[in-house]
Amino acid sequence: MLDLFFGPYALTLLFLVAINVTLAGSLNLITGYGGQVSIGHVAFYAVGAYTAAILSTAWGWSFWLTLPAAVVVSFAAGVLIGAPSLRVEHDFLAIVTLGLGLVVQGLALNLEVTGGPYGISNVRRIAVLGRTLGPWGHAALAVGLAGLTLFLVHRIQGSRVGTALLAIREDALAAEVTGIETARYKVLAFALGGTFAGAAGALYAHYATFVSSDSFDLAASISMLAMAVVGGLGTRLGPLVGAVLLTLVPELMRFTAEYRMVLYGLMLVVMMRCLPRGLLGRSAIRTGG
Amino acid sequence: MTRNESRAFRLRSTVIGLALAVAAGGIAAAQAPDIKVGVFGPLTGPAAADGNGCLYATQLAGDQANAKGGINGRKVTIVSADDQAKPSEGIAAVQKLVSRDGAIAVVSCSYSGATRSAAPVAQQAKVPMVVAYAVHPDITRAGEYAWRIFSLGPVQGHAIAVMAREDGKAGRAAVLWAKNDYGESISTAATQRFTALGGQVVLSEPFALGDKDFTTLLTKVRAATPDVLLVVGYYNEGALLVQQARRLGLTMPVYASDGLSAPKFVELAGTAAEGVVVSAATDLTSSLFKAFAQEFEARHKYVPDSVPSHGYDAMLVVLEALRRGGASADGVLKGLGEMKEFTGVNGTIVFTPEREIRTDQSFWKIQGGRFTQYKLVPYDRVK
Amino acid sequence: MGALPQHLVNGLTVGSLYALLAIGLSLTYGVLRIIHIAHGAVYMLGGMISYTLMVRFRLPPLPAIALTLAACAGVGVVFERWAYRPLRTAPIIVTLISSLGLLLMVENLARIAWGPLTQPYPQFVSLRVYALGSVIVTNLQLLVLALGLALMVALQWCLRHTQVGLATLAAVQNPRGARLCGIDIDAIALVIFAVGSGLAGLAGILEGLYLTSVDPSMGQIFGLKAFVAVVVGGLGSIAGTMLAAYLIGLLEALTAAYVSAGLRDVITFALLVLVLMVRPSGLLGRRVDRA
Repeated sequence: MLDLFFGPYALTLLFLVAINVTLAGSLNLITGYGGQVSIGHVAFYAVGAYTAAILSTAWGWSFWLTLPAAVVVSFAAGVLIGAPSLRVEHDFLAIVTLGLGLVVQGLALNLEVTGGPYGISNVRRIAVLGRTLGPWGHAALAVGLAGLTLFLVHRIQGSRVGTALLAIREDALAAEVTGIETARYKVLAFALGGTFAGAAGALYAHYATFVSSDSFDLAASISMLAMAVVGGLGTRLGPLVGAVLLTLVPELMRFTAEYRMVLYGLMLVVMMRCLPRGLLGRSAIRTGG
Repeated sequence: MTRNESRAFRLRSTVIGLALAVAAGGIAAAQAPDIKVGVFGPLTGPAAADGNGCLYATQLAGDQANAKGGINGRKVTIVSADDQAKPSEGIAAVQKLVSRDGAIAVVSCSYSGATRSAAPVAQQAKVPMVVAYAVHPDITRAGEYAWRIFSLGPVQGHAIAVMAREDGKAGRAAVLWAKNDYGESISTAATQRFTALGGQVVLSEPFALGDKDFTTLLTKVRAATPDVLLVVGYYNEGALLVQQARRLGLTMPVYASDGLSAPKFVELAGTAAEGVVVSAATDLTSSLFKAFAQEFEARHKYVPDSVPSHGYDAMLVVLEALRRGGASADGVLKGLGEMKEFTGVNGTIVFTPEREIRTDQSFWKIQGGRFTQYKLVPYDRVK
Repeated sequence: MGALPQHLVNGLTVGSLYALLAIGLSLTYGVLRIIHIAHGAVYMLGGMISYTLMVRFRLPPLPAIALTLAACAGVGVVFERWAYRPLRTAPIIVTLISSLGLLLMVENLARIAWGPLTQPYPQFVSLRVYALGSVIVTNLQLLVLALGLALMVALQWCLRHTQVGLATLAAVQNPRGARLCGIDIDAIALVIFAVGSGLAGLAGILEGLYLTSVDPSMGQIFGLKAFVAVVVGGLGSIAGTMLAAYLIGLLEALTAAYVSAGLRDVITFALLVLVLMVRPSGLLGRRVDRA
């Protein structure tokens, strides 16, 4: 019975849940607090994962070097991908980010540096003081990253940046008039959110030791969004609840065999019908439209 | 609390309660004393046809072994896990099989991405994994626990080129290939070998999986005036591609990879499939294959293609390893190591020290709407 | 130059299928502001249901098509009543997630009902191939093109000359104003879901006929591209949506022809992003106030 909670399988699930918490939590900064609808969050996850995989295999960098590199590169990607939010808004922004997500996946499949259709194998495992991490170590790292993401997103939300984002979300024009540089904060939301997702990507690449473009499809973007929305956009712990629920429920529904994804879909529709603000959502959220 | 809020609260509690109940149900199901062999593959999602077909075949092999008294008197049970052909799901699926379900060997019924991600999991758990049909070259490099019973892409690519050049007497070839590791590895080798044999590849173009309209690519083919068309892909795209080629008036011979060696290809392409030569690992005329196909069709009401037949062989290899080495993960590994040669429904394979196989490459030709045994390219010529 | 006319014909034919699918999306999006990605599932059902009626129940093509269109319209109405109407005031992300849930449900149920394999579609229009100089055109391509254009003209006429059409146009341009004028948005929603879903079903049938096969996964990417056409075309502009659908079809054919088929989707989506950057409200869209 103990094995159920501490065995390798439970630790694998814990790792995947924690990665999803990080992804949903960072998307919450962009979409929940920032009000910028993004259906391309997977792009940052991919950028982080490929940065780590390339540096690890080409130059033999360890995770402790690729992680900061992935953070820097995904921050830059956040600025690039966030830039369109200055020109387009709401549903148009949703489609632009969706397009950018597909472009990033397509590039990963076609470029030589990303290994094309083969992806990148043999990414170095994570070692601490010369010892390769086991399932416990990986799970602890992922949980640490998830906790840090939720904490920092919370701190950002409580800071001047957060106040500015809130103002922009509620009324961009009024925010602009009161002297908030909306452009800067919009892009900053994308860049910061992208950074956490990129860090998650780097951790995943070293954990799985293999990255390929089929991990970074549109379905992954939408599932991140679903986690954030089901938990409650713009809430502190919503992404945690949403990611835990939407990762574990399909996993635990394995016994329903081919009905697994049918039930998952049904759950999404019913949840949105009954709790459109998410499990933890209380105040009405406004994200355009 | 307003009426709406209390309603929301009730719903919220119900949803969480339901999730917990589902969790408890999932935990309660498991455990039994037989020898457990894990099978993972895409059981849901767009790739579900291959995952399920392969799973059925492993179950068939397991049931047949049990009907003959099992392995040294112990019954074999198959435990399956869905990976939706996604890499991260592959990790979770195999981890569940080896650590929760107690599988002492694993058969991969999945594609490259999920299998490549799952290989280190099996390696770390020290549970042997036998790969039925995923072709990514790095899978077996995960370590001594990863084995494969399917030819690597280049072997097939070389064989297709040899056939096109010698059987088709072609000087100019156009290659259309699926944009994934399977398509890229086979088409690259085919292009190299075709050129090395003195031919010229006048066009090489990838297409995306799921594409249905190939008229644009075929218009390019027509402009390049090849003598022969090489198609590297799977039956869904392959059937439409060949059909549209014939519609556009392209009459040159077609040589294709084993992804097209499925009855479904003929069904979808109709008369356009006539005369197409496909690579196939399986000897259609062997009595082993016929017996397998008959039994499979009786159970599942459709004719198995090379995906189930390789799932079946992968399971037979595991069963044989169990018999030789004993009912433990180490035993299976030992048994695999001892098994230099194995004859299954796809023919005879020889394991290399890299845990890959050597085998001759068969070719089938579609005549009168049926696959017929056509020619054989021996392994020495295509390695 | 030589093959260019051929590539144009190929691109326009696919664009026609995108357009048929996009009409429904353009209307539902225009009136209700929902990203209805489950529209692709209706398109898939159009292909699968008509296949079943003709092959399993041996119905002749015309009644089979009529029944299929009715069934698809019915599915659309059920979607709207069950999954979208309760979310009328919810933000667009909530309806997007709900729509994703619908798509997953319907697609996976279809895989269970019909099996995941591709099925050959009955070819009830026998193929004719015409060679116009170096350009090869089939009667199926002409059928798809003609039907697409005819339906678009008919739809535009209905929108401008019928009561429901005018009310719909009003609702597209200004949902709140339309409501103030006493236009029943719920009634319009049912009509546009029925019509849009019927057209999606027709597109599914035409794809089966033109590309000779149908399968339970055929809706995903098609639905997505149709939606992109809606946004690129411009909010509330049905003509813009059509234009964008044909442009996407052409763009795909030309990238596959002159760049690489492997890079087709990358280039298509990158150009769409660029178009929106240059014209943030789409090709023929006007800035519309948030409702």
